[in-house]
Amino acid sequence: MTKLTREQSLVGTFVAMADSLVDDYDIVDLLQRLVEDCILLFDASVAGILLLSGSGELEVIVSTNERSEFVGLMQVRAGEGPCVEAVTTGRVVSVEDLAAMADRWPRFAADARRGGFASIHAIPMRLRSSTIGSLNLFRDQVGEIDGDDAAAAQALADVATISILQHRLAEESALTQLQLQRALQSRVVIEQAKGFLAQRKDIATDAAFDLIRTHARSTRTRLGDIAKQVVARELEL
Amino acid sequence: MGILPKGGADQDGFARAVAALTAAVGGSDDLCGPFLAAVPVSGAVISTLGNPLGTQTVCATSELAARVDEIQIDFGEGPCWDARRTGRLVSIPDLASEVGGEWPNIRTELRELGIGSIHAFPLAVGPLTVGSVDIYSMVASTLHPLEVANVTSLSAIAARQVLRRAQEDAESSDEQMPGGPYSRREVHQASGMVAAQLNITVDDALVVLRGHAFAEGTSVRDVAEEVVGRRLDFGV
Repeated sequence: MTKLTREQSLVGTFVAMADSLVDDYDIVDLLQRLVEDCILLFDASVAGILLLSGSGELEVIVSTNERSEFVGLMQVRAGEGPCVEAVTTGRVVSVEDLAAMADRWPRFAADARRGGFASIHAIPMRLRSSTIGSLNLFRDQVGEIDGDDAAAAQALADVATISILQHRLAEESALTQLQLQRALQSRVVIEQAKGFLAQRKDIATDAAFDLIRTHARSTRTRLGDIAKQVVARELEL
Repeated sequence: MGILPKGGADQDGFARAVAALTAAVGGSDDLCGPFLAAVPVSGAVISTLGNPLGTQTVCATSELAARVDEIQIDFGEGPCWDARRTGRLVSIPDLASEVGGEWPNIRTELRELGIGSIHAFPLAVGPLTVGSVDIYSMVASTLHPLEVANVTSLSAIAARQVLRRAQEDAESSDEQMPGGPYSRREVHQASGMVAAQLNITVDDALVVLRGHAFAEGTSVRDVAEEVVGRRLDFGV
């Protein structure tokens, strides 16, 4: 790839990621595109992203190579390897050759050799003090990754991290709002139904509540649903 | 209004208010009083408005403060609603001088209550605005930018407390609305009763209750109390 074309491609990738911050997007799609762009843009033959799940476990979210050997290579095999270390330390882990790998992570090194990889560049996906995963570039040549490539990959990892965190925040917020709204609406309609029945049957509101609750229990329906039907005049108690 | 302390805001008072609000983790701990420690205003009232927490006064530093909120709830207009909708501070530094404009009913009511100025802060946690914090004075008053910053911070702490209580409430198995000095439970019950009395929807019944409250110059809650107490029947 000529330098100019590469610049244009890199800019294109950044623009796509930035767009994702403003519009609705599928987060996994976005990350898949990111790793595929990585192997086109950078001196890497395979790329993958590890993310920490809600339960604190590392998962392979996306990779450019679906083969189970590669996927297994990245994963937590006794918590070993540069991809995992980038997450636990929050620092870039760059290994130039298999010999260096064998010293630090013997099992990982053996898998890497079998997979035909000669060097690894693992970038933590971090926002301030919070590391949520790693972007991992696997190369089939020995040696350090190109400095420009490393810098650009770091920047992409940063933007991806922000995208993921923003996406999670929006999901949590929407869920909370929905739960609260449902709880509130249920209570409001139950009070309305109490008044409605109290008037219709000339009974106290407490007695009206008992009627609603009894019916809900005997039909195994939610109280709020019964109350809604009463108020809508769809149910006579 | 008194002389502003050097720097434009009472930072000691603000610090005390932060401590008090942060400590107010109990379901019935007062969230309003601390605002009076931070700014020299006459009263403060907090309410949740619309979705997702429902429209209800949370606390008030006095009966007058409670009334300032209740009239806005009953009329469905006012600075607190605008703050809630926009997520921004709505400041009326001099109620007497402003003519026309928004909320004509509320302006009239507030002036009749003797209110000179009112500032409505959004009650918000991040992007989620759930209500408003109103602070008011009996005289015209402007807030110094530092005071605005301080009250904004206090509102954020109060909002977190309110949201946490609401989440705990939602997770509990209570199916009925709690009572309490500002509960609007009877308004909902009365809506149901009037709906049955007049053979209309509960939404229309609420309009009937509001209309009656305005006509009589009382609050919707007072009318609801009459209905639930069977002293007022719209069907006869």
